[in-house]
Amino acid sequence: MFESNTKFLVVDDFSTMRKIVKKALSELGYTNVIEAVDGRDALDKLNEALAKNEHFHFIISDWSMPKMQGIELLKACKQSPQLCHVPFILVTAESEQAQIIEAVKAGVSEYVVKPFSAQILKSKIEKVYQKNIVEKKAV
Amino acid sequence: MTAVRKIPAQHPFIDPAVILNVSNGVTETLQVMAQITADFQKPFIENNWRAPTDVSVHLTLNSDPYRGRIQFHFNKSIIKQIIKNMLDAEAATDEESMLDCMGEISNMFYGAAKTKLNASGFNLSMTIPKPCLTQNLPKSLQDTTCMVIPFKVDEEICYIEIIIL
Repeated sequence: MFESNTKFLVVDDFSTMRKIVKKALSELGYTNVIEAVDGRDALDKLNEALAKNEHFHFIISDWSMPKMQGIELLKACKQSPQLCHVPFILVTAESEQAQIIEAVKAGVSEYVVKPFSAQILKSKIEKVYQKNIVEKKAV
Repeated sequence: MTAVRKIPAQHPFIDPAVILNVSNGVTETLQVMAQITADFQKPFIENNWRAPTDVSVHLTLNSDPYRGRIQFHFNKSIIKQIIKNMLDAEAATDEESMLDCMGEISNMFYGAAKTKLNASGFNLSMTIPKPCLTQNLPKSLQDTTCMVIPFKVDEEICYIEIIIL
């Protein structure tokens, strides 16, 4: 399990999905959750946090959003030396092979296909978190 | 009475595969996300059809060279049930929350169908769902011929509408 003060950034243009993800996180014991309405808003919040020497520990983002899509946000994060190590889960209704390959190539940590049960989302979050802890210990 | 414009029988948007995959997308999404069962009824073709519902979501349905729209129509009582099942009994069910919920749910309906249909030769593109009150649906989408697929949820009728442009 992660530490309870782990800071999550949840990105989706629909507040319903942000609430569903927040509910799952809350059930896992994580309540430090900031919301963003699209990729551009998310990038602004990530950069604002960096400017204050604060950090997000985890990003959970939708793929299809106006202004800036989730895959573009993922690529932008991977290009940033300060954000490239932040675990990134894409939660999306898009499950075509070409899109999954694009996300994997871009460095996504995990891919959750909508519709999903709360149990699936929670298990993927925990899996990515555990993997991240193991990798940090190895470094 | 206006005669129903004849849709070519071979038009891909009224192919049984489209009806099946869109219906399966709705069934799976409602079951997995809200533990709600959808009971599908016989589709029909109509001219200038108006959904007798409260809330609608419209999405583009484009697969070159074909153009269309897909719309999902629900009454508020069903939407409230979906919100409560997905979130909790205390979740807000004001109009804004209902529109947002149906936008997200329709995104899942479409995404599930799109994945299956594109694997079988369609080339449906990504689209952002636009929820609104049914009475506020764009006028340009109203005077058209469409296929309507009704389905029952808790004794209320909801509709999928596929518009051929």
